[in-house]
Amino acid sequence: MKKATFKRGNLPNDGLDFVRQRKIMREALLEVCSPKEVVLPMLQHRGTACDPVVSVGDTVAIGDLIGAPSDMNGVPVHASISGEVTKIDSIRLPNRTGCQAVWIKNDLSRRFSSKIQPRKNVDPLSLAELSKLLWTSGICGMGGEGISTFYKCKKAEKAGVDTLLVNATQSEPFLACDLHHLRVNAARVLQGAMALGGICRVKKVIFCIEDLWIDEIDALHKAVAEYSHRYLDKKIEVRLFKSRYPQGYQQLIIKALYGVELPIGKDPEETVKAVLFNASTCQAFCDMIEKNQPLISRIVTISGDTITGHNVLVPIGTSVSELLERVPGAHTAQRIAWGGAMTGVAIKDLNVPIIKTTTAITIIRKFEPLRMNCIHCGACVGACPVGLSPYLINRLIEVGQEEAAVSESVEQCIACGACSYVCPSGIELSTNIAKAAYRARKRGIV
Amino acid sequence: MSRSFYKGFTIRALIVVILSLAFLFTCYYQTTSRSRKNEQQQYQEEFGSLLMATEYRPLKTDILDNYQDIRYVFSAHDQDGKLIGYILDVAMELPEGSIHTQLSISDNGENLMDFRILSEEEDAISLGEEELEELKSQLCGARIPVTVDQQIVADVQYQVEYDPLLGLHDGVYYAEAKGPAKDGYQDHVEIEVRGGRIVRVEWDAVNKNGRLRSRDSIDGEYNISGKIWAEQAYRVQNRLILVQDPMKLAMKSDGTTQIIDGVTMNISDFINLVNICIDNSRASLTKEMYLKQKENPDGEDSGENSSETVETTTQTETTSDPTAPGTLTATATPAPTPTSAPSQIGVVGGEDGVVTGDSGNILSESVDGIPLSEIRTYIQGLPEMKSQCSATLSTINVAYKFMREYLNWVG
Amino acid sequence: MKRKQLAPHIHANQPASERYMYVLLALLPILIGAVFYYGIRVLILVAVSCAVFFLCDFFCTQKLYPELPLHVDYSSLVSGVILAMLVPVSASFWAVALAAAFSALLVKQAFGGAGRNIFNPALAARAFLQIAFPTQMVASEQPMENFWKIGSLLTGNAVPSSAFSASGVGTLDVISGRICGMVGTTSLVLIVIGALILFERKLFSVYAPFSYFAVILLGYIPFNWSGVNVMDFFLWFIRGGILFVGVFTLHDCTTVPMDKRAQCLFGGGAGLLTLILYRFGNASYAMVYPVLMMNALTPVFDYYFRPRAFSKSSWYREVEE
Repeated sequence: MKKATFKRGNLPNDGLDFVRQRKIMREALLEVCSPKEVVLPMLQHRGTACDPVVSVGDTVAIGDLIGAPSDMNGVPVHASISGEVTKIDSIRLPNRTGCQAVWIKNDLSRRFSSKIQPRKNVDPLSLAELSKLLWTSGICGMGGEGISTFYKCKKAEKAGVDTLLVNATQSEPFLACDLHHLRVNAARVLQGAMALGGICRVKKVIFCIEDLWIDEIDALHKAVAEYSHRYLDKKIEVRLFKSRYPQGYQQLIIKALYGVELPIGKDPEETVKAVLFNASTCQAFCDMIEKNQPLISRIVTISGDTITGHNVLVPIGTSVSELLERVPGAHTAQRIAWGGAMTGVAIKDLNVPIIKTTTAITIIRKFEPLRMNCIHCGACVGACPVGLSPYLINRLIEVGQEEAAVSESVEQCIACGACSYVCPSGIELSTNIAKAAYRARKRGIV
Repeated sequence: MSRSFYKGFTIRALIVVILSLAFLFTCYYQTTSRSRKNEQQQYQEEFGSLLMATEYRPLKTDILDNYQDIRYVFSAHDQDGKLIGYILDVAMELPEGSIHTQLSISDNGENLMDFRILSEEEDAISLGEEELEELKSQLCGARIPVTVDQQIVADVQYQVEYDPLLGLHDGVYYAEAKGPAKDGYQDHVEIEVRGGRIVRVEWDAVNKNGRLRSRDSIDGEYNISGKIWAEQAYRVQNRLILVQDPMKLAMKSDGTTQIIDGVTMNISDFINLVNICIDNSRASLTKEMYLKQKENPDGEDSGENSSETVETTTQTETTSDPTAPGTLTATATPAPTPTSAPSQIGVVGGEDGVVTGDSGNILSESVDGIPLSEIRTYIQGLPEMKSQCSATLSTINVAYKFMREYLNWVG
Repeated sequence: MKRKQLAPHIHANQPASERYMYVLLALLPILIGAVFYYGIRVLILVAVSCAVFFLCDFFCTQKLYPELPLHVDYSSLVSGVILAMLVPVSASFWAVALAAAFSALLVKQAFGGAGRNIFNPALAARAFLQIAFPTQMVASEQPMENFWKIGSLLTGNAVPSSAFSASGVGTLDVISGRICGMVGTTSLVLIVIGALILFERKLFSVYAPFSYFAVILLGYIPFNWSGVNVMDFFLWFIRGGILFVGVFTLHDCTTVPMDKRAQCLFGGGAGLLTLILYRFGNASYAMVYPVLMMNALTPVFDYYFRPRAFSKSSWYREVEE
């Protein structure tokens, strides 16, 4: 089948070799991290913060409810380790969210909550029960989006979608968290996707994966072949995408598959009747179905430009400093990004917790781009996947003409960072434009 | 800029440099050989009728600067590289008109092999086919310089250069210095007089090893400031032949002269010796007699003649003998003695009457700046087209003068 | 100075200074060919024009943008070398220096400095020389005359007229560059080597040069209906600077539009103007002015050929929405 792709964007071997890093990770075993302390923020998703339901001094087990959602836009927070609640305080995360957070000290006993037990019968779960499981699982978009999965499913159902897309493209450089799930737990990803598909009442499930991940594609095909007989009411497809950054974004997957250009503010559920979920999200839901285990841990990729990357299974809330304890060269690195290399936030203070949407910690040893004037090379125009002219918008923002920038569709910026990546003059296009886009969106579309 | 950039840059730069240099050198050799072949082909087309050769090389020498009329000179070589002749291109502006010829001269510079007249402008001189054939039959192969035989054509005007000194007897006269000069060489001067004119002057010096100063200066053994001694002496000699009177060489009190191009050295020895030669000529003291006298300084005549050695210059000056016109004064400025004065007086030296030139024509002393004694060939010429013929001959003589000067320094 | 650490934290591998260094590398074979054929004087010409360009740029950048860190912008050196390659070897040093100063100050810096200039500075300097010192721009010295001849500083070389200049240039002469002309434009193969270097480093967008050459090739016959001579065309193509200009001026990112279709239009327009100027005007004007004229249209092309954002349905942005 023809590989889907979109125009522009960054190609994988453009400068840094994204792919080579990930091939090395294939051999590395999954590390399991056991932190001394976790910090569980109440707002780890896009929506409203939860309220803490424990108090200082309480003993909690793995999987206990720590934060209850206050309204439909919330996602519950569960304890990822067992131990004692030491502190409940406000915290400010690098993505500018401020909320309450619960500090739990690990008692190293790995006590699981009584609710977590393997389900005996997976199949006869009705859709309503699945929905309830989803609500209580605390799953949100784990690819970085952070939209409450329950909310998304409800919206999708209301819109009447007929396709569920599983985003396994993993196009951001150095990341490999979804790939691990695909390689090892392809069946569970499939199961989770099917369950989500059931809730959304879709007829087709499409797995979107980039063509470079050959092992993962094989595993997926095997899983599909093996388990498709269970899901005869749905069609399962594996679609290959040409490797390109930022393929993993929702707009671009839709553009590649359907050829429809989604502006900001329009959802794929309404326009093309498709709903997109991350592969890790599906796997987490499978965990919930199988063992009633809410989202308490996730795989984080630790990598960088000079570090051999590896995946770590991290309890949610582990601080980055603990994670990087055993990584050589982490403390002398120039930048440590909370998130991927292209879209992560650089953190100075390493006492930042891993939250549900953190996909990676990227350690950049040397990065000092020069800063010159724009040379009008047009590389940014060739890189922007959404069809903006970043040099023009940046210049308009610089001189303060934000209305003109809006007429240049600045609000469409998806903040992928592709323009800054290619700019030969080292101009910070992406940040400037993303900020202006945020302002424009707040002014206009809100 | 990163190290990987420097590495990649250097590697590419090296590849590029090597590639382009290889390409350039290859093409250079290819095109040079081809263009040389082309060039030679062109030359052959151009000059082949004059002198067919395998290779023509342009001649580059400073002497060309002295001859504005000669546009270029080529030397023709056969396939072994041996010189077989010269090709000259001469364009002159003469009173008769402008003329442009090309001629080929033998390798020893003595024979005219062929010539042709190019007429590019409308008023240039040109000859008709028949006349050209006629002239060619007279000239080709002839020894140059060449002039029209004057006994046949009497009304052709020639340049009169300078009046000769009076009272000179024909023959070869010689004078040498008493002893070696400071540089170890003993100067001598020899003149030949024919028809009352000095037609040949030779100035050289011998050291105790028998080496000639001219030879040594050419070989680089003897060096003075300015041009090499042999060349300067040559110029002095030629100038004397031209002006006939050593006084006209305008030597200053420090022994140098300003009026001869390229001559910066002290010529006082020369002047002294030339004056002695002139005295000898007046006294008909030929070279043999002089040398004999020198060997027997106590001989009868030698007493007389010894008074005519170097020191006699002052004596003759103080006696202000009209027999020794134009001699050197010991004081500062040379008094320009008019050579015409003796002729006004009419009597010189008590010898037989002076006639200038025995060729029978009072007017002709030299042709085109070449003294008549040097003219080797006399041709009939073209009686109907005298001016064109003489113009052609002038070009040939200019070529001869150049060849003479050039070959003197090469061979 | 400390900069905030903003995403993305990795960067593509070709900063602007490297780009220009690679363009200089692409000019290296031509420089070698020029020195090989025309002697040491070429190096002095290059040094003079580069120095003037660089100094003007440097001081102006310091004054205009004091907040930018101190760095060397090699685009001025590129312009300097291109200018030096476009003049005949008998050009005088001070004329070249004057043209370089004019171009650097008036054409480049006055418009905003490196990256903001509309017109190609090297071509503008060459146009200045064409107007101000036309006699010096007549290429009269044969290649391989004298390697070490530097000539006078002020008036340029006095051309010695040799008695016989080998007339009739063969094809090998033209390909290798052993013909009389401007210093850098004469060799076909060396320019192609330079173009290959640019291509390998992905600095060479083929649309503009190829459409330029295509239009010239196709249009030569109708424009010169009487007397079409392959050798003449070939000679004009090489010696008249068309190939050099096409490769080294039409790839320059700053003065050439960004979009591919716009580049084709740019190249085609430049080719058409070249043919017109060559036919009805002076051959030396046909080299510099067409590209300069199309340079003036580059901002227009850039504006109207920009890509369509996701929200707009056609590129008539002002009309829709």
